[in-house]
Amino acid sequence: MAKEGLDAILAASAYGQHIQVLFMDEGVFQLLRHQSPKSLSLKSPSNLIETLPIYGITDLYVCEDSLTKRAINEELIMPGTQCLSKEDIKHLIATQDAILNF
Amino acid sequence: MNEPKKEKQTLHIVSRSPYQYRDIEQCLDRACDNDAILLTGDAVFALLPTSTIYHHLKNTSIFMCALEPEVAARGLLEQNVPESTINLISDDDFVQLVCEYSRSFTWF
Amino acid sequence: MNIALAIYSPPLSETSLRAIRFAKAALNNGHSIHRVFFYHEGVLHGSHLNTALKGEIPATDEWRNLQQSHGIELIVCIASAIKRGVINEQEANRYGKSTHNLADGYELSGLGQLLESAVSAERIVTFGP
Repeated sequence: MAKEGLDAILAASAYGQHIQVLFMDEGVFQLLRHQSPKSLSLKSPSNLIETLPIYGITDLYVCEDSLTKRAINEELIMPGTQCLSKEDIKHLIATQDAILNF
Repeated sequence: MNEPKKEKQTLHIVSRSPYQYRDIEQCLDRACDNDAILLTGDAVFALLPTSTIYHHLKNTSIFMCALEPEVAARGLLEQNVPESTINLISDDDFVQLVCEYSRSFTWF
Repeated sequence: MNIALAIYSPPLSETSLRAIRFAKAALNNGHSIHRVFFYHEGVLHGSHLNTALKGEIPATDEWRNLQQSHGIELIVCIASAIKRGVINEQEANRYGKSTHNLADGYELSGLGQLLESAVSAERIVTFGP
């Protein structure tokens, strides 16, 4: 549900709430650079993710553990995301008013 | 990270089979000690002591529960699901957990 | 407590049935459900052409009954819905379709309604894909 999630983030930006976005598990693949889904007649999620700061969504986090498990080093993913440890993620989850997963 | 708000507990909901997906492990990995994990759907197959994930459930201090109607539907009530590991709950209890915990997080 | 629901799974799935049981249990226990937001495959709940065979639970009608008895808003994500052939009269006209099938009691609306629920309800529970 990668596209559904990004659409929801953009919709959320209109609500003036403090939004934090975490990419984890298979979701981290969305952050890979040089995606070219034009070959499948699809739009690239990375283009959309790069525009998020324009919509005021600047708290973009990625799960360090998920990257490590997939042998993705930080140079392979787009800039602008902050790596979080397992403990950071527990804290992030525990401090939200509401959580939507996609 | 932003201002440290007071940490409250989360109800984690998983519903997919541990034989096909790693939802339960991924959830256990990010859950806090005072959280709860609710097994629904095919995730309840994790309750069988012979399941690959069972030892994770047995050794956690997190409150583990499973939706009784969905456990019963799979014939697991007769399969020696150890009561010490899991709390079987009703739909009413599910609602109560949602209210008691500060937020819910559905894993998939 | 005011609880909002988000449903991403299609009718006939076990998750869809779980969501209906949850809603009934919540209402029976004195809680309120302001809105159910159908997203992704969940939008397939919104077609009045869904026909339950004998002995099966007619999810579309079950939600419609709860909408009538408790005033729950049944919001179907418009973008997810039209892609999957769930369409109201207005959208049928817009896209040149000869027919429409959105069930009574359901509304097509934008994703903003999901976010509004997450913000305004005391709890939001997602019933995943």
